[in-house]
Amino acid sequence: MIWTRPWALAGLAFVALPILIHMMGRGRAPVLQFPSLRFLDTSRLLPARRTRIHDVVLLVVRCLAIAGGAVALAGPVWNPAAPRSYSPDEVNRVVIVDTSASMTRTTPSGNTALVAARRFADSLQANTPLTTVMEAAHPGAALPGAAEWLATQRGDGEIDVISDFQLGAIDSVALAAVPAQIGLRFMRVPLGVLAPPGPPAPLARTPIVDGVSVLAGTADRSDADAAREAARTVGRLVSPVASAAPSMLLVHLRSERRAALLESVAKFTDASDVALVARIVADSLLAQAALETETESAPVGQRAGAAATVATAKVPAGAVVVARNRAGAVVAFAARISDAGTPRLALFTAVGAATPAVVALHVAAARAAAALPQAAEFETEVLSDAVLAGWQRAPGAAPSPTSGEVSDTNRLDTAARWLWAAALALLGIETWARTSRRFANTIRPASALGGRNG
Amino acid sequence: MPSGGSNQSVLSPTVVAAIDDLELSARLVVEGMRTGGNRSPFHGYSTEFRQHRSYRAGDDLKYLDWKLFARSDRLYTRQFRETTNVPVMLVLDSSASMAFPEPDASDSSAGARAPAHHTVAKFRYAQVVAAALAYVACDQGNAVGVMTMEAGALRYLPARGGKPHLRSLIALLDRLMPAGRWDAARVIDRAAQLLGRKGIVIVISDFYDDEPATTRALRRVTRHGHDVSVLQLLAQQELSLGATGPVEFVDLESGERRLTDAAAVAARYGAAMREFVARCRAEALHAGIDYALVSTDTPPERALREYLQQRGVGKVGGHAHRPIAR
Repeated sequence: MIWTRPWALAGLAFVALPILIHMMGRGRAPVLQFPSLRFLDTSRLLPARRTRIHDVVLLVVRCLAIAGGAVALAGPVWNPAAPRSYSPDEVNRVVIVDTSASMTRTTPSGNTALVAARRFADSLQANTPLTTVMEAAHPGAALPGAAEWLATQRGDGEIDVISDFQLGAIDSVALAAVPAQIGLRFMRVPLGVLAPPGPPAPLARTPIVDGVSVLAGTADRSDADAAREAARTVGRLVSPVASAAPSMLLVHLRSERRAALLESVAKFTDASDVALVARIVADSLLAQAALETETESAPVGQRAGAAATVATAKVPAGAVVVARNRAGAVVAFAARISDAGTPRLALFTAVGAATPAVVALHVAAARAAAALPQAAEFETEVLSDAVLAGWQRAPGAAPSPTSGEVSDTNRLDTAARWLWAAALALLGIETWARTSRRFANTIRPASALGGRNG
Repeated sequence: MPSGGSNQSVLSPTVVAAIDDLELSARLVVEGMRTGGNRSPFHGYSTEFRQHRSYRAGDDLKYLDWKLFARSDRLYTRQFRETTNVPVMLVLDSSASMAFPEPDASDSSAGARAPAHHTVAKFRYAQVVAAALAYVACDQGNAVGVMTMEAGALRYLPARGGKPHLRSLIALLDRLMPAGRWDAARVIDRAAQLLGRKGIVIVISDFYDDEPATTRALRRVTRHGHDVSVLQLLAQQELSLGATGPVEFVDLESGERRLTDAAAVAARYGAAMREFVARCRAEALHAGIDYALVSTDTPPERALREYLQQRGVGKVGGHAHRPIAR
């Protein structure tokens, strides 16, 4: 049993008060209305024993009432929720692997941090059957999704985060979205000493290698070329080195190979591809250009040979929409394809080549594929072990009071309520006992002793 | 005269006192007395024989001279001197001391809602006794009145006959409440004055008053030729103290409070009460006054029966009482 207000137990000392009063009191003499006092002599009253307690029953009731009130005020909690122990095999687990650029740094063992993290995640998944691994460039942003998935599973849940925990990777705001009954574990990937980078050059002055290969049809070749030139100009893109293979493919609407490539679309399995796509989606220039794009309602293929500037292009399964216009129509989408047996990342346009959206798409793709990481990825400050330890918790902890479920606070109110009721009942008994003794103090007349005529 | 078929009372004092209707209570008491075959003490008719006359239809059969019929085979009715109704004045003590004892409201053995099973206030007892005496007197053709004091002022009904007057008298008795003090001498003197001609004065009181003045008043009334009777009404609870330990006694009339150890003073109190009662009796008998000590735990009809029996044989306490002077 625990006490929410243990200081109130000091009120038990007041139990001594009625005891002292009962011992010190002489006991009030009963009052008797008498017809005449002429034959009554005064007499010296016998001294009452000071140590004698009068009215033991009334004293006990009073003591119990005071004690009950003090205990109720102290707020006892019966059988508080004990910490639960759990078996890892019985816990549903989501392992979030940090795939941010900082994880490309090497560990003391020589592998990149990302490789080490993936290996560890695989070992967790192998050892515990209820584990799901997901990768995210921003672990904090992935926490709500992981919590939602765990909420659909039976049993306790836990989120494990494997990261280098750069400052900003996870914060208390992101953790607040995780329900209290879901456990949290943070596993840091050890990294080697990083040489402090030189002052980063402003992005605007740094040329970006155009790592995007363009596929266009005969009908839109000229538009595609024009768009590429515009993209290089806008994005300050530079031609790639001849030997370097472009990482992405930009497939225009009228490319002859479009249909075949669409049929080879597969699910994304490479985290780096997901990261690239995420960067393209987040490109503000692309997003703004796509919003302003007008599209026609004619479905693709209905007008054979005609310049289709579609559309409501059909997005195949496994592809990810990277841009939409104001009407919600797809402007471009990304997919994992097989190009002559080689898996590649492809961007499919859904609008004509000579549109600002295509230019922005080219620039966004080139930037995403650029080898130069953002300066912020080299943040040297990391979250301390003490902070991570403070955030960690076991699965199945007491539910948060904000969840609306019954909490210990409600339970202790119920316990204190019963004690208050008992104290009030004792108070009522004391009042009844005190008033009934007032009547009992009336002298009862003696029985007849003599005859009528004396 | 026969003392009656049964000397056992059917109704206890508490039951009689608990009857709200005082007239009914009085009637029950009187009926209880009559089962004993008591002779009226109030002498509704003169005992002086005058003459015989022939029986006429409608004459009261109790006045037939059966001895003469046996000798003559003829029915004759005895005639008496003209009937003389002796007025009766009841003097009732309505002081606060007559409120003792208070009905026991906290008697757990009787139950919370039960009336006072074990105690009857002296005044209620006195009301029943006075009403019963009035009933008897009126029934016998006597004029009856009542004199008392209420809130310091005399309250009375002059002696009259008849059922309507009886009801008025009983209603007056029923309305009275014991309170304050009473001037016994003044009330007794005034009662005798109201009687006019010689009559019967019956004083019902506990006599917790000015003893010398009361004694003088009683003697005065007696000297004037009235037939005086005193019924000293006391409760058993005041004849002896049953309490123990410290008790704060409060005088019902004066309000005086006295804290005393009841056990320590009980013996002296009992002796003093016995002396007081004996003194009252002696004074009464010395003055030729009928005296009876009535306890509230005695059934009213038994108490009145014994009193009237003693009065009827002319002996009270071993002394012959002085006959009513005309």
